Amino acid sequence: MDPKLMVYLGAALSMGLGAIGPGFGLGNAVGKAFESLGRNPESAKAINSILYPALGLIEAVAIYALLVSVALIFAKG
Amino acid sequence: MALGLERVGEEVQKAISFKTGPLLGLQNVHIDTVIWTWVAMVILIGFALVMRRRLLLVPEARGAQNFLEMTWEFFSNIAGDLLGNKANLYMPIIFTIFCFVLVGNLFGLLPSVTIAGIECPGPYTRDINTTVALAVFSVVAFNAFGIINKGFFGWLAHFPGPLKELWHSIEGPAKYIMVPFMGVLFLLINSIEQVARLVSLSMRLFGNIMGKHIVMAVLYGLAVFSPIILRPVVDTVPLFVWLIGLIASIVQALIFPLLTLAYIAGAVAEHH
Repeated sequence: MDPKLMVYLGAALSMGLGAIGPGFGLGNAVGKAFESLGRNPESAKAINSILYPALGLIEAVAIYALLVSVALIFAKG
Repeated sequence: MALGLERVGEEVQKAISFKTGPLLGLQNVHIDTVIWTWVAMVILIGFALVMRRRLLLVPEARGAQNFLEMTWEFFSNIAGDLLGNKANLYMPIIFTIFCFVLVGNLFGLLPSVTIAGIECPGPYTRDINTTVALAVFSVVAFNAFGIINKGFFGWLAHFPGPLKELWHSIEGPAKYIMVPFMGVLFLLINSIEQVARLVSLSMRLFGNIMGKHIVMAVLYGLAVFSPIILRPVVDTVPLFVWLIGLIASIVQALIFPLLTLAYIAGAVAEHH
């Protein structure tokens, strides 16, 4: 196959498949947060202060896949 | 099928490019990154000097001092949990990294500005040089704190892992094989972990900010040069991406120092 085709295909597959895992992870994390918030509404502050950093860390895995994708598209030669 | 998407490609090219040129005898410097960094330094240091004189014991609500105290407490609570009494030794580094990254990320929410005749299309945290420099700073910092607190050989002795406990917990002649094997394994894992921490710290910040910038550029290219019929739809999407970018900027600015704090606590921890 044409190498340029492979590059774009690789970029698309990288981002596409790389977004599955973090999607599951984020949904899980936020789901558990909501559940424990429903059980104990007073822990909102504690949950809030750990939820956002945790979301950022899980999101970063998807960003790594995005970096591979962008690097594939914009690399020359 | 001519979709007219060439402008999108141009906008993305503009988003990922830096204005390079010679500076102070060095060739090929990212001049817009340097200019933005100086602007951030002026803002941060000027703000700090001004706030020093006007510190109130009970800060007014919604003021700058209140916001700073909130974020300081966020880090200070976690540092107190992880480090105990020595939290205040390491807080300045943590909070400085937070301020620097936050100001950098927030610059990215403005449109492309022209400072001193040089066009600066984005914040300095989308430059991988800045993020790698910050990550190197963090990695050197936590290793240095480990060396200061435990001595050079004490710090090196952590790399092969908990060999003494392993030795005492395995009976029989198997321990002469298992313990060196585990030692080599731990050595490998810890060395890779150092590199992985550096790469992940820098790439996380760079990817978030540059990715947000590229998405904004693509949406701008699609919105401005799209037919009039689609305008109401296409013009509102960048707003939501901008809002997500605002949240991501603040979250990334919180995570970078938080991880540095966790690494410092891991390096400085006393053995039970």
